Amino acid sequence: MTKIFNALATSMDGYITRTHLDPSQPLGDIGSPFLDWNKDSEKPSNQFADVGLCSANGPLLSFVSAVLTTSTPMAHELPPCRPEPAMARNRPTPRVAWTTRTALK
Amino acid sequence: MSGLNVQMQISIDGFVGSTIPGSTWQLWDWGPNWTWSADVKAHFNAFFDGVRGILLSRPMLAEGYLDHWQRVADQHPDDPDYRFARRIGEVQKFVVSQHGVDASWPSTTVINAPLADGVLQAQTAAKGDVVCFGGAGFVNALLQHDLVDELQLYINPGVAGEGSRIFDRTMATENYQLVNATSTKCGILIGRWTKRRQSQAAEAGNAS
Repeated sequence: MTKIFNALATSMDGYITRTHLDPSQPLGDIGSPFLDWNKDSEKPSNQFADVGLCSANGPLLSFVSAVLTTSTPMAHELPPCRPEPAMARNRPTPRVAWTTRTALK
Repeated sequence: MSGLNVQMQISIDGFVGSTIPGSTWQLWDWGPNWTWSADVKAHFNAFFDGVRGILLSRPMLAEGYLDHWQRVADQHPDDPDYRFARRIGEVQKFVVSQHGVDASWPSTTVINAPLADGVLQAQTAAKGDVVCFGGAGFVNALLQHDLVDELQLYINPGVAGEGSRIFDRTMATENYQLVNATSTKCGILIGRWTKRRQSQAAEAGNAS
C-alpha cells in the first residue's frame, strides 16, 4: 500500500512561506529571516552539499531525501516517533513524524 | 538570576485557541478528561517542581484559575499525576496590572506597575524561575516587551484552523534558539526555545 507523506519546513507560528510569492521569490517577500534556522550549519546535510542544518533538522531532511531519491521508495517507511534503540543507532531518524488520524486508521 | 518561562499549548498550525466551533485541536482542554500520555504528565509535573513563582494574567485569576486547581488538588490528594495542581496552591503567585487592581487572591501578590517593572519585581520576589500562564494577549505582550527567557510550547497534533496567536507580524524578524525537543506517546511535541539575540545570530553566522 503506497503511503504519501508530506515534509514541510514551518515557522514557529505555523507559516510555510511569507506572503507575495512569485517565481523570483519562492518564499515570498524578502526582508525577514524566514527559514534562516536552516543555515545554522551545526551539521552538514548528507544529501545537499550547500546546506548546513542544525542537529535536530539535519537527520530529518536527510531521511526525507533518501526516501525521495532511492530506487525502491516503497521499501521505506517513516520511523515511529519513538524508535527502538537499535533503529536510532543505525539510521537517521526524524524527531517528528506526525500522520493524520485518518491515515492511521 | 531567575527566568521567566512561558508555557502554552499550541496547535500544529500555530494557534493557542480556536474560534472554530467543535475544534478538537487540544488533546487536553484542562478539564477532567486528561488524555495526555504518562510521559507528558511526567514532564509537566517535573517542570512544576522547579518553579518558584507563577505569573498570571488578571483575567485568568478573575475567571477562577486558583479555585479550579485547588478543587482539582483536593479531588486528587495522593495522585502523583496531579502534583502540579497542589504545587499551584503552594507557590507564590503574581499578577501584574497597570490599571490599579484592588482585588486579592490567596498567596497572590498584586503588582501594580508597568509590565516590564512588574515582571522584574515578581522574579526578584520569587527568587527562582517564574512560569507564566495567561491568554494569547498577555503572552503576546510579554513577547513584545522581550520579557520571556524561555518559551515552552506543547505542540498538539491537532489543527485549530483559526483563532488566537501569541506571535504577530511585528515579530517577523525574530528567531528562537531550540533548547530541547521531546516527542511523546500521545503525539504532543514539547519544544523549549530561548530568544535568539542578535549577538547569538552573529556568532552562528561566524561559525558557519
